[in-house]
Amino acid sequence: MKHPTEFQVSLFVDGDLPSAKGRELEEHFDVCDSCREYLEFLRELKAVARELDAPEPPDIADEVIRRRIAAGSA
Amino acid sequence: MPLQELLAKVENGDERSLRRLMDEHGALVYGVALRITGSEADAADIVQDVFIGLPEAVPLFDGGSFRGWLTVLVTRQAYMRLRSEERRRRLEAEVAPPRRARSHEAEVLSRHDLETAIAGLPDDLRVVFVLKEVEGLSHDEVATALGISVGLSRVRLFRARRELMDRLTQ
Repeated sequence: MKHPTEFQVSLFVDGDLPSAKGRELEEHFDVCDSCREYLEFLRELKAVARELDAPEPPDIADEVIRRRIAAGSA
Repeated sequence: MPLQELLAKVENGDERSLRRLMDEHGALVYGVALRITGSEADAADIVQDVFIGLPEAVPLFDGGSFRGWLTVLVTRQAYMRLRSEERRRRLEAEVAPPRRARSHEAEVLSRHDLETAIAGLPDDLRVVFVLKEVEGLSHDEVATALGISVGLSRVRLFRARRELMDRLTQ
């Protein structure tokens, strides 16, 4: 097959391609270094994004309670 | 304490229950707000606004994933701030898109590099990337949160990836 579009590879990474099209891309990745390289980058991007830490939140509990009381609703 | 019981207490104005929710979910709300707005000050304001309004918002919780529901709630607040022209002008000088030499064939992508690159994405792309890839929402959930179609969510995620690749591999 000809090279898939980058959008198709993006859909493939998310499992959003129809299964027949997905198999077609898998076969292409086996024989095309440049497309496989792009696929591997997207997979790495996805994996690292899921590993990002939640930043430490500021301590706002007292302020939230104070403002609710001030608003007369706590 | 089961979540539904905790939420019922929050709805009735119980201070300890609200504090417990802030302890358990403050990091999630702050993380989403910070990554969407790119501003610690805005994110702190949003966290306060979300939790101050939570007792009134709880009745709207549909009983599905509370984490997902809360993420949508904070996203909408953060998105409104993004659209503030005043904020946009203030941040224009602060956001410097990272550009650094890197070959993605030879190196492992670092979390720090990715955080920096995400912060430099255009607003519309950054929001979708954060919700879908960092917070793990589905395209359906992203589309609902932002009021866009699932197809547009997929396109924006693709464009975000494209831009991140450019930024991380140049």
